[in-house]
Amino acid sequence: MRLIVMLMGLCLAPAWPAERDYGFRVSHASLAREGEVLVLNAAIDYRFSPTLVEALRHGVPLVLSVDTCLRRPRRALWDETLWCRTLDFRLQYYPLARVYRVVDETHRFQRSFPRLDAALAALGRLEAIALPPPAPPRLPRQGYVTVQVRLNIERLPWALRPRAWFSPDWRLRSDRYRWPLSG
Amino acid sequence: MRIPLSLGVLALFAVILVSLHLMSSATQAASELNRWYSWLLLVNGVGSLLLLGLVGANIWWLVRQFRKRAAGSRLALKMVLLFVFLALTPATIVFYYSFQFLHRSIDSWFDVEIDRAMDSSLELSKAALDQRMRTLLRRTRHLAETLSQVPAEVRVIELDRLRARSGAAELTLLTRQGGIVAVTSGSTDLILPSLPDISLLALARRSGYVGLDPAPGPVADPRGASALQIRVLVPVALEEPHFLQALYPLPRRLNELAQTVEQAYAHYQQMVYLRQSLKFSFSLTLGLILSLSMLAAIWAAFLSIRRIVAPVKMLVQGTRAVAQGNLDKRLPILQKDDMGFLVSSFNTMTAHLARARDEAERSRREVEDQRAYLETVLGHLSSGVLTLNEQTRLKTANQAAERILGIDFQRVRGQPLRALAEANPELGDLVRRIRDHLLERDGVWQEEIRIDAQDGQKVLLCRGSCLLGADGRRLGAVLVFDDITTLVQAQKHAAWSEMARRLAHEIKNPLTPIQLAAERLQHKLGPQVDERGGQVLERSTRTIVQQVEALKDMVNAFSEYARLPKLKRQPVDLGILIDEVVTLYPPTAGVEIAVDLPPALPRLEADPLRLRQVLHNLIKNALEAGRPPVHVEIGARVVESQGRSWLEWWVSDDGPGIEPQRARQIFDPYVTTKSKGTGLGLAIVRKIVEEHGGSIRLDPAWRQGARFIIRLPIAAANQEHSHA
Repeated sequence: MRLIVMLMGLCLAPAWPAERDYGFRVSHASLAREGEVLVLNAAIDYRFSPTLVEALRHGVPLVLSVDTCLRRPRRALWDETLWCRTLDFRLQYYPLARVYRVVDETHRFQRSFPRLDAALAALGRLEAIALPPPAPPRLPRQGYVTVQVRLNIERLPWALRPRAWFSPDWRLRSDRYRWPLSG
Repeated sequence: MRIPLSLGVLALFAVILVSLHLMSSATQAASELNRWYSWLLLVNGVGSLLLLGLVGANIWWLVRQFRKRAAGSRLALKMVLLFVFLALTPATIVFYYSFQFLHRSIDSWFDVEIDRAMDSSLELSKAALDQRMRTLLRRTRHLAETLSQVPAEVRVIELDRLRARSGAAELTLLTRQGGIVAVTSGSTDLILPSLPDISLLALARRSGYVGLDPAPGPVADPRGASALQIRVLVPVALEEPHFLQALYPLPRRLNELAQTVEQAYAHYQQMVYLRQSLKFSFSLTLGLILSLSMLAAIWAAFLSIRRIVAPVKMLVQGTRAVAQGNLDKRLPILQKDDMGFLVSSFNTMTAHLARARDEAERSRREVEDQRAYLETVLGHLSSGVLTLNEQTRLKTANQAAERILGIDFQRVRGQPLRALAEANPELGDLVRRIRDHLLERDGVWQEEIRIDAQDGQKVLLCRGSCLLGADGRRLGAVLVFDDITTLVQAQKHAAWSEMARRLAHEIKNPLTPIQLAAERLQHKLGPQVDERGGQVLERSTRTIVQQVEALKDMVNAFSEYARLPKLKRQPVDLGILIDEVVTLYPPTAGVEIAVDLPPALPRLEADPLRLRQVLHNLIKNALEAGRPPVHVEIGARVVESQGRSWLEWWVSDDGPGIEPQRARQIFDPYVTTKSKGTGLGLAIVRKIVEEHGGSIRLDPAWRQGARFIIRLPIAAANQEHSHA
């Protein structure tokens, strides 16, 4: 019975709440070339839903993915994606040490924070983060860059995924921050 | 190339089984398939929807077939319902109890005692580490006091000495804002010191901070646990406030134990949090497996049932075709099983039926041919043939029968024999006689029967016989009759002609000698006898001579009857002929003749002299029969009978008439009701009329005297003329 109620709840639940005080937002981003690699600078505002905070406090690792893409507009269909790289950051709570550990899975680097807001603030400051090679050889004139951050549902424990796909508390994704390429 | 159905079903089941197995494996925590769980779920969900669509389409097809009452649809529906019921019932029961078992199993993972044990182990670990951390905090404060008393120039050297003395892995002197003033490390490969977060500096500003911290920096194993260290941060009272950060490594064993406790606790907490999600996901997986299996089984059942029902459907269609008369229907043998045997038997049966039908058709055609042959023969027979069924109802009659009896057989077909007499009263005697014969005996009978038809008396020679079946059963009767009227009359004519000829020959010859002898007697004996004797002699001889003359006249009349000259036919206007004859009978003749003829009578092809004789004889007959003045009426009209036109004319008088019992013999020679005459007048009339192909009869309904009706055939050309 509970299963049926849960399924009905999932189906009837709105895809997005009318007003919410959580979500992701990319407030600023820029891309620069340093030698053979592109480096990303970004300011991201992470505000977790209570469900996410509760899951984190229960030891559920959360992976936040930052997608950086070069795109070129097209007249028909959607824009063409020329190049795309993803930075994955894993956030996990350690109950014995009582710290939040942030692991940059791309560069295999970790840091710990005694408080969640400190960890989120650190996650939101991306300064000269090198994007995985190879970088595009030449940036297109007519293109633009997008940066989008999302909670990677596929990295959640398998049992959580069906629920997360249909729940707005879990399906967190920022709008695409975009700026045109200057050439 | 078409893939066999069984292979297709097997392949489908294999794909579904693999998919379900992969999804089941993905639910294992350590499985590599874990990351593909969502995709497997999606694939199986889409597979379920596809199967649902297939099953729905099959159900829709079956419902449409059932509504159309298509062949085999009822059997298919029954089998599907039975299969679904048999499959769904145990599956539902298994699903329900598996669902219950699953939920209880997951619930059993969590227990208050385990909760408490996990919390206690964590608290114990914390307590053990807290004691060590307090010691290290005190030691670091002491190091900070020592460092605060050292001149600025040697602080870096002192810092390195203090690190070596305290056992810290790394000592860093930081500014108030967290900037590095000096750093010393026991590791030679230190590139960057492990700097504290800004938030830690705020915490350490008053009395210092101590905490357990996973070792920062590069991650050796992204999924593995990092080594723990103790981070101590205390204020240092220098010229300006500074912070001293010391990083102490945990002993290896302690580190391992702490990590084990932490991982176990974190895992348990995670499971507690995922408790409902696990139930939901396991139930979802279980439900998906059940629905996939059930839908695949139902679809396979549909395919199998279609295959099973296909021969039945063919058989039903074949049976319908046979019922509609298509015996050439042959069904393909799709399977070599019992159904195939049934289809083969059906084909054999229809082949036998077709052969039997062909033979029956041949027999029917033969019967039809024979019947047509018989009908043609009977139709062209001059004899009338009438058949009766076992209930003596009128069954068939040929054209000759209709003509002879003067009936329209279609009006009495299928009716009892008596209906013939009811429709034609003149046949009453014939019907009675036939019925008597049918009642009396079953053999063959023959009788001459006379009937009074409209055109005169007829003499029929009737022969009857019962129709018997192969088993001796009486099937009816057949009557054959010939109109022998003409034959009988011809025989009579011949007899009378012969008699007349003989009479003329035998009587006429002695008459002249008798007359001569009588005259000689008169001549010889007259002078010899006395006066009285002479008178007697003269009277006797005169009487003899007169009677001889009368005999001569009679003999001449007989001779005339016997040797009527051959007809000399020519077109005759009956009206003119009657007028010519009537003018010969003036009113002084004792007869008044009234002629009433319609205008434009058709001409006859006849001998006018003989017709005049007919009219003379009839008028003479009226004069001889009645008392003057005799009133004679002559009329005529055109009638249609026996498929041709006749000129019917009549001569009636107001004489005493003819008694009914003598009416039959009135036209026979030497039959007369008058005191005078030879009795040959009407016989000669009939002979002349019949030589013209006509008939004469006495009107039995005429009660004011005698009325003779004569029918003479109208020539074909004249018929057209009269119709025009």
